[in-house]
Amino acid sequence: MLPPPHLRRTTRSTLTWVLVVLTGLMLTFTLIAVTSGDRRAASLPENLLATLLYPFQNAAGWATDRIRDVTGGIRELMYLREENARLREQVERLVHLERLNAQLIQENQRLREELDLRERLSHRLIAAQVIARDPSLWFQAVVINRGARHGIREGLVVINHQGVVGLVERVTPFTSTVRLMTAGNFEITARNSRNGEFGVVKGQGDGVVVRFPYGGRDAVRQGDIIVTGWFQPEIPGGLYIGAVAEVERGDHDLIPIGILRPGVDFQHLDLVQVVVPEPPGEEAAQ
Amino acid sequence: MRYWVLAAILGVAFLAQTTVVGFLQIGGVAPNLLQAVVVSYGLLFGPQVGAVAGALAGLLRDVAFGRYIGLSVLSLGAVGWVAGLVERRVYKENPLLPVLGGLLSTFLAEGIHYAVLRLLDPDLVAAVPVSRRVLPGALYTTAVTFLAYRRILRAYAYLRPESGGVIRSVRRR
Repeated sequence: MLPPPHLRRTTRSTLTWVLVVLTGLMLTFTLIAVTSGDRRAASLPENLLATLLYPFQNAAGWATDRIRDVTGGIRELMYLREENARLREQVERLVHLERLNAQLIQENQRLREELDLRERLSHRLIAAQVIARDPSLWFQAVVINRGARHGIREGLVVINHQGVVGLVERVTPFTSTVRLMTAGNFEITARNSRNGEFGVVKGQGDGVVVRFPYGGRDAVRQGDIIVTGWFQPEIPGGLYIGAVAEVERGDHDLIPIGILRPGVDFQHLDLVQVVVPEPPGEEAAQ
Repeated sequence: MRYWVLAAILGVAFLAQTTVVGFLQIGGVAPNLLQAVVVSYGLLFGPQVGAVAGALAGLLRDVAFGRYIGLSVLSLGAVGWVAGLVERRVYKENPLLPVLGGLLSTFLAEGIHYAVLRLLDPDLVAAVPVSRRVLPGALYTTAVTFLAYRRILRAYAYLRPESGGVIRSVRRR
């Protein structure tokens, strides 16, 4: 015997709902599976949405900056005298450093000529502004307002005045997604500037560590300065990553692990620079 | 139901989440405004609206930032749907509702992320200190959910004109 018409309607609508949910779930899992590979190029929908969002994110970023400028201005006014003294001291120190830097450049050039070393790759900096942040706990990334149209490509290193910020993960015509150094899937080759030991810097979600798999027990010490290594052609060596705050002993007390204090303040990222390598010939042509 | 207004609120929440909210981090933890809105939709308008809003918000987030497209669709869709399941069984004016909703939805969303990422990217799961980050994030998101929920509840009559201004709280027998 058939159920009454009102019950049949309910059953049909429940069935439709279940079918819609199941189809949606299947589509979602298929999407996850398809996009789970190591993909760097942004797909058409991603490009479209990024281009669509770009003006809004730019405007929102601009408004946020103005608000921060105003609140920062008020705060600075309150500490103007102290700030002034500190800045004067900083200027004196920088003038001294500039002189020292000029001397070191000359000395470096002379030594390179004496050793007949080939010229290092030069780099161009593209300034960009952070216009959006990934809210997720798992994938720490920011979006910058420069993309393929401005000469940015995947794998380039992003820095600011404090040091290495991250790597360009995906590029759309007007924007790029930068994976931050603290992200769990971030990795970059590094060098200990004290002893020249090579290692790998890895993100840990809320921190950064450096491992020296081939280094001895003395590969890393507290206070060591870690900079980028020379192994990745897209990334210039010697960029400041951070200082070692603490040392732990890894597998069977053999591999030393340095807990890094990154130079960059990731909570207040604003202006960044993308480092674009240029072969020496290209620079000469310009 | 004024679906276009619901969609507009979701769009604004997405923009705010990716721009302004990032600067409200405390100790590296930011609240999840998008999730707060999705939970509020589920609790106020039922599982269908919650699930669809969650899936749309997730898709926006995945396409804009995503490493794996579909992951946030799954987690936020589930959050909206589960929140919607209690829609007719609770009193919507109860202030505990958004508090519990915000707290439990964070655990559900992060749990789904954890389970799927464990299959796809075990190294990433091992690297992220989940236990240290989830609870502060959940508390922060709960506070934001409370505010978002109260704001949307105040606009309930406008968003659901067919209700005649009456907040339908408990299932009619």
